[in-house]
Amino acid sequence: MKKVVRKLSGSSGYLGVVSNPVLILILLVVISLGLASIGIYLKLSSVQSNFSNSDFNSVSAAVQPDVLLGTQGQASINVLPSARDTSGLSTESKSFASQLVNQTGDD
Amino acid sequence: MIIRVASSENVVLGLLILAFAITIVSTTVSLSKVEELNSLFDQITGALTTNSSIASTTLTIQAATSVYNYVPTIAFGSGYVHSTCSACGFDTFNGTRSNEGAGTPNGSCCVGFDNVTNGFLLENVGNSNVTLNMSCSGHCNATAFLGNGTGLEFQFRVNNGSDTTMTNSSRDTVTDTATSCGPSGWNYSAWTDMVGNSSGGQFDLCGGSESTKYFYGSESTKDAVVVDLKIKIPSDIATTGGTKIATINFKAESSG
Repeated sequence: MKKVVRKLSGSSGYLGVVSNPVLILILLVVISLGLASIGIYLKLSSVQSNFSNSDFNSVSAAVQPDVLLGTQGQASINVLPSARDTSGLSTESKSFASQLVNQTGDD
Repeated sequence: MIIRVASSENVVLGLLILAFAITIVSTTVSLSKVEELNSLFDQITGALTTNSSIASTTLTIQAATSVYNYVPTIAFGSGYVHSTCSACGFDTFNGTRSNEGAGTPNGSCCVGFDNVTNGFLLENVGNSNVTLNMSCSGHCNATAFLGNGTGLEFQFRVNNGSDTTMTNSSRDTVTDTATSCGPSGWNYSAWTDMVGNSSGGQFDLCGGSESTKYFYGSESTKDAVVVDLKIKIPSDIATTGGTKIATINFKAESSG
């Protein structure tokens, strides 16, 4: 650091303005801290931006609130309106019953 | 430490003070950024805790919601009530026909109808617990499905696939051994009149309320349910004939 300070020193003082070497040292330290702080700020901003714009958004989009699904079943029947069991009747009786149903429309 | 400052150095000293102030402010802002990142990392439960400098973790969980109906069609066929009987009744649980319902076997009262012994068998084939809702469209109430008469019945009931008396429980991928609907079992386990969707017929079969939501399980040994149908046709039935169809819609809802 002394070499750096000597190089900066001139006939009219350090950096052409300052003659006190302690002030020059403090100046260098403060400038270094400032640059480091700005660098840290920029880096952290970049990291934060990456998190908020990609990772967390993709996580929240992957969760859906509800999923609906449907499936069906079908029941069918055909209830005959006028049919009656005539298996126990003779052929003549069946014919008579059929004619009767046709004439009256009754079952 | 005492610093002697020449008059020409007042400007430099001022700049130093200004630079120092800026440094303090920017450092404070940077630290606040770190605090914000801490709060973000707190949301990641699987954040890296080892000493590795670089690590990549990928976790993908896919939720599948799927309920399958192994018996999509129940066809009772075509038939009529024997002239000597007061009624013809049958259901998909017993399959036997009787004049007053399943309790009194008397097959001769139902002539021509198909002997159906399997109700709808649904299985939760996904990996998510669901809420199961049922509705009916088409010819849904007894009058619309069967005709006009005294003591008509068109009913349904819901029971566990693990019930050994269920004749079609063997269709389940893995035979159930426990109730498939939460700790309290299925709603409508007793015969209940079918009501059309247009008449407000929305039946929460399992887990209708907020506290019992998603109670229909997905574990292979408790994921099946049987929905049986019951018919009763009186001898004084008056109908125009023709096939009547009731479409039963089962809606499964998961949390995703």
